[in-house]
Formats: sequence, structure tokens, C-alpha cells
Amino acid sequence: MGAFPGCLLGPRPYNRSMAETSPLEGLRVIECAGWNGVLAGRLLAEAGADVVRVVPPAGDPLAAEPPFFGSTGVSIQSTFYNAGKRTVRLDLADPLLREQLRALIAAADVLIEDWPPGAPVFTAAELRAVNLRLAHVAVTPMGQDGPWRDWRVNDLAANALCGSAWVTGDPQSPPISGYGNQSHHTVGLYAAVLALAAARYARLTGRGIHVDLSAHEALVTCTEQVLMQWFFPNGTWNTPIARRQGSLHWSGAYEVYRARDGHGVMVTASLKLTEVLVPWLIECGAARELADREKFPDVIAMVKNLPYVMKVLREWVAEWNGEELFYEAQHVTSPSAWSGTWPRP
Amino acid sequence: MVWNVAEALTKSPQIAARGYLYEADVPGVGTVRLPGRFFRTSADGPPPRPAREVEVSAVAWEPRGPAAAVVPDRQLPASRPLEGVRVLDFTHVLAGPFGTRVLADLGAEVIKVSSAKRSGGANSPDHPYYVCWNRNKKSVALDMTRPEARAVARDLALASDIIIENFSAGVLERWGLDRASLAADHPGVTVISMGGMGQSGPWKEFVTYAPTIHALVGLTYLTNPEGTCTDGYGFSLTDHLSGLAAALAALEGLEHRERTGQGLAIDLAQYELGLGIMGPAIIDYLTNGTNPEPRGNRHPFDAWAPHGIYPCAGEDRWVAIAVRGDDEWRRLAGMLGIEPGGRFATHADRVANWRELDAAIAARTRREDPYELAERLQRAGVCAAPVQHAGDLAERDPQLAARDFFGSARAEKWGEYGIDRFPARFDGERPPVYEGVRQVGEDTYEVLSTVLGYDDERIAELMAGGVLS
Repeated sequence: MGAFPGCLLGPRPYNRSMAETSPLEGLRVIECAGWNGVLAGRLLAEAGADVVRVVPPAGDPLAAEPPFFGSTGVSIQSTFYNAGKRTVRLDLADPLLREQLRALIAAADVLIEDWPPGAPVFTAAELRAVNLRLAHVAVTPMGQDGPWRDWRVNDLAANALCGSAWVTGDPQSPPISGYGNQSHHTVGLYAAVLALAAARYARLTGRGIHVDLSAHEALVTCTEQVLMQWFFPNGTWNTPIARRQGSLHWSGAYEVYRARDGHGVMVTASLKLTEVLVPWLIECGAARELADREKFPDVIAMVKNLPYVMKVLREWVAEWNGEELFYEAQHVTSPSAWSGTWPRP
Repeated sequence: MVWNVAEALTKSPQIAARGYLYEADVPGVGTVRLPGRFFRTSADGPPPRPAREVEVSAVAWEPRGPAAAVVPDRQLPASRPLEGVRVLDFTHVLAGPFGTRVLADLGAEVIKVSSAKRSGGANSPDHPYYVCWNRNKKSVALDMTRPEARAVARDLALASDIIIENFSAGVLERWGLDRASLAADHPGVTVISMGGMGQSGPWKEFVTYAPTIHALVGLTYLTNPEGTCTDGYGFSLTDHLSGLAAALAALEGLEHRERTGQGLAIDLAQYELGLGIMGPAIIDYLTNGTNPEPRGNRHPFDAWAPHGIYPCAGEDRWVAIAVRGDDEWRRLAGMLGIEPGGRFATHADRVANWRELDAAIAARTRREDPYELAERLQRAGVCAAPVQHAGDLAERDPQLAARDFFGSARAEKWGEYGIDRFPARFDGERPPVYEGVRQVGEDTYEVLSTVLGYDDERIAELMAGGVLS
């Protein structure tokens, strides 16, 4: 596979002096984890941490994950998620090699692992004995205890369990699991945050710390309206159980409509409705009853009749070329639009 | 624009203008373009190179030696590892507030700056949305259109470790609150700008919400039942992820200050974070020309089959089932009473005949309770899960109940209301503090007098001038 002559490498936003140190330079991290930990290691590595990923003797299971670069057999996913790391192969069934891992952990600052809670490679106490200041993050599908502790959970099952799939899709479709590892990305970000929070604790106190991160719980905290509607059932949503409703946002103010050229355009009614959007609709001769100051005297009246506002928007979008509308809308709503400095593409 | 992956990469001038993609040599492949960092810092080194395999001995970490004498000035509880960190929070809606909620749950002191003018709708403490994302925070009211308010904000900035904002590009500079303006007086401060499109490029002024980001990076297009391409995610996923990334950036700033005495300027473009979470699909397009179509719940790369969400007994009840390899398939088929061989014998067969496969499984699951079936399949080592809704999470999920995940908070307007607690335990303890939401400006006096040391006369003067509203 050759180089890309047209590579789009642009300017860097900051000048970094040679003497400058990467944010996490010198931080030692052992990553001994699958899907829920692999992004955490990547995030710490791209900030300059020294991340060592421990894989089985047969090689990194991620390296077998499709897709691959052409016919090379090199995994795109492994390349992406492991960038910036060093990897070592260790057979943890071999007592000698297990000791090598223990020695690595003894000299590390952070350990991120996803060992089965019922059968960890080392217990937290064993590791504390060799490294008094270890920031130890255990990231498992369900946490270290509970009746579902030993469940196998992949991206699909995680999205099913946390409420994400329930609200994704349309009323006629089954619940839809979001595209492409998003549950692992969510959990991986949490794990990276907790690794640094734990490292700070260890640095300031001189004591190690064990973090029990439940992927399931982490995902439940990241489902926007799902818990809000449950805890506050009397809002405009009118139901404690958020439902799937296609592209229509829970607020009723965002939806995807078809432009004249067939392209989908994400439209929002929430943005400066009376200052920007309705005047623009009036200018285009598309405001219909929204131009009627008696029927729609203010923004409250519009929000109370959001389905009508959205209907007007849907019909208006159908008259546009999708991309023209996208750029024009950004122009009209952009903060610099009023000073006329908006750069056209 | 709801763009597919090819459109997402070829139609955006922002990607090239900000140099988001970078070239790397992948062993066994050659030079390829890869997606860049999830966010950028003022101390970034070269972009990450592909992983290198090394011998254990080559890791060569010297033991750290005995702990440097640490004399904590007070006890730091394990479940509040960020106590002592002060965060000045100028963010609104979800992405920023979720990030600072994470920091506040972990013990940081978060001072949220807002104004009566900017506190309508979902930005009002009277809105449940605000209540959900702004617990554990102090609220200071400042009318930032006033120069006196900007002077107070600068004093707060000089007393803070972290500043987080999601204004339009350039606003912070105009107020003198960007890192360059603060660094001379406060070299340790980290300033996180989490704009939709980042601080540079032709799209830097674009106004984005999570649904916009999802649409522009190909996520909306690919999250759909087969034959549809406009549904997308049912909630603002990238807001949560951008918030978590901002929390991570904040902690990187603290680490960097520990090593160098300097904080960081962070350019967190929610758009680039959105591209990052599409990383494998982006590389697949750039190198292989693959431009995928939505495929419902089937696995994006056919690594698992079956891989679907199937109907169960009862109204709108569903179970997710995913199988990898022939052994797991035979176990599942045996339990559901499906003939495992024939057109379903191998992984390749199951991928090729997925419609028949899904129909055969659905015919069996239709009679089952999703919880009982998932528990039975899990006991046999098959990955399966009930599809849960909000009521299930709160009242039926035995795992969340056993781990005591839900709690409550109190606020004057709301009385006692339910909350989800922090999703991790520290040495066995969950972060313990969940203060209810505060009214806008409720803590203005306390913060100005205790954090800034303003005397009553000065505060009264600012109040009388309408600065603190």
C-alpha cells in the first residue's frame, strides 16, 4: 500500500517548544484489558503516557478483529486503538511469566485491567503488597459484585442493557444498537478519567487505590433523557419512559428532514427561534402561520406548538438543496453573521 | 447534513484545515492516514505511532523507590480523589455540564458561572434537564456583558485550577480569560475550550448540538434499521463523550502542572471527538474505500453472527443475543431448539444466511421472557441481555439494585428527587456527596467573600450595580 500524495496535513493549532513535555510524560500505565479498557490506554498514550499493553502469548485478540488493511491481515481496529502503546506478550498461566507481570505492575503508576471479578490474575491486595502507590482501575461489564457480575457483555448487549437501544430506532423498528463500539468508547473515556483521578490520589497521599468501574453503570449515566424523564415524569415529555421516535429529539425540537435533493438535514427549532429562525422563514416566504403575530406572539407560543413549527420546517427544507441549506443556516445563525465576516467555504 | 462516511470525509473543509488526519507507517501495510487526537493540548508531542511489540525486559522501568515524603495538608478521602481542585465552569446545556458533574462528583469544587439572561429553558435550575447535570456545583451569577463582571471572572480564574467553557471561538480571548491572557499571572491554570468545531478552521463559528455532530461524522447514517438512514442515535451521545473528554483534559492539565508547573490550553472540538469515535470506519474508508450502509443490529464488520435484537413475549419486549464462533453457536442453537448445521453450520454460513438465521431465532424468542432467557443463555456462556427501558433500570435491574446505584438529592424547588450515583467505587466506596441543584447566583456571596476575599461593601456595590445577576 503506497503513500497518499494528497495527504491533508494542515497546520498545528499550537506551537510546542522543544523543551515542552507532553501532558502525561513519564506516567507508567499497564493496560491488561479488552474492549472496555483499550481506548483508555490509547487516550493516555496520545497524551504522552508510557502505556504497556499486555496480551496473551498467541498475540493481541484485537489483531484478529476485522476490518483489515486491504489483504494484509493487519487489523484496522488494533492499529487505531493501540496507537502510541508498547505491547508485550505474557502467558499468565505460566507462573514465571506471571511474576514478570507482577514485577511490571510493581514499577507502574497505573494499572487498567478487566480481569473476571471471580478469578482475577492478581487480587487488589496482592498488588498493593508489591506497589503501595498503585492506581488500580478495574473496568468490568458489571462491576466487582452483584448477581450479574459474571455476565458476558459485548457492545450490542451493553447498549441493550443501559437504555440506549430502547430509545434508538423508530417506533416500528426493533430497538437499535448504536453503530460501532460506542459503549466501549464511553466506558474507555470514564476509565481514562478514573486512572488519572486515582493517580492524583496516590501521588498526594502516598497510598494506592482500587477503583471498581462498572461499565453498565457508566453507560446508564450517559443516556441523556432516559433517567431525566423517569425521575421527572411531569415534563413536556409526558411519560416517564422515553421511547424511540426516529430522529426526533426528546425535546421535539430537532429532527432530520429530507431536502429536495434527497439528503437528510438535521433541523433544529431551538436556536434563536424568534430572533433568527422565524425572521429568516418570513424572508423566504415560508413562515406560514408563524408569521401571524396573533397566533404566535412569542417564543412560548411557538414552543407550545412545536409540532406545527416542525411541520413548517419540514416543508421548507423540502424546497432546498441539502448542503446549501446547511451552509446558509450556519451563516444565518453564526455569531459573526451580523458583522458580515462569515467565511464562505 | 446526514452524511455517510465517504461524505463525512470528503465534504468537510474543517478536517483538512485543522490537519486532523495524520500519516503513519503501519508495519506490514505502509504509509496510511489515521484519525488524529481526540482533543488537542498546548503540549502535544507527535501524534501516536502504531503500537510496537517489545520483550518484557525492554520495558525497562526502574522501580520508583520509596515514596517521596508526602505530607498531605489534610486527609483526602479515597472516594473524593479530586478534593482541593477548583473548576470555573462557564459551560451550558449538556456536554460541558456533564464533564464538570463528573469532576464535582469526584470531589472537585465546581463554580458554575451563569447569568439570569442565559438561564432560560433547559439552562434554568427550574428545568429537570439542568437539575440532572448540575448537581454538586456552586452557582455564581455574573452578567458578563459588564466589564465589572469580567473583572470578577478574572479574579475567579486566577483562583482556579481549571477553566472550562463552550462559548463561540474567540469570546474567551475578548474577555481576557484564555490561557495566554492568564498565564503570566497564573502559569498553572488549564483552560479547556470545548467548542463544537474547535478554535480554528472555516467551520470554527458553526453552532452545533450533539445531533449535528452525529449527523456530520456518519454516526447518524449508520445507526439505523436496514433501509433507513436518518434515525440516528436516540440521545445526545457525543455530548456525554465530550464531557468525559473535558474531564480527562482537566486531569491532564493537573498532571502537566505537576511535572512542569504549567497548565495547558486545550482545544476540544466536539466534532473531532465525533470523528474519533468513528475511527475504524474512517480508516476503513481511507484505505479500503469501504462506505458502509446501515445494517440494523448486525455487527458492523460481521465478526459476530447472529448479532441481533429479537422480540420476546409481551408488548415491545426484546432480547439482545450475540454469538461468536461455532461452539457458542451450537450452545445457543441447542438451547433454542434450532438445527445448528446446514445453512447455519459455519460463521460464513450464518453471515450469508442472516435473514433466515434471525427469523429462526426470533421464532423461538417470541415466547420467552427477556430476563429469564438472557439469564439462561448467560449461564451457558452466551452473550445475551434484556433490552431495558428507564422503568426497568430503576425497578427491575437486579444488578443496579444490588450495587445500590440509585440515590436521591434535595433542592428547595424540587424536594427530594432521584439520581443516578457515580458509576465507580473507590476502595469499595462510591463518591458520597450529591448536593441538589442550586438556584442561579445562590452562592455568589459566599464565593466572592471566601474564595476572592471581597468585603461586604465591595460585594454590595457590585450587586447594586447589577453586575451579579
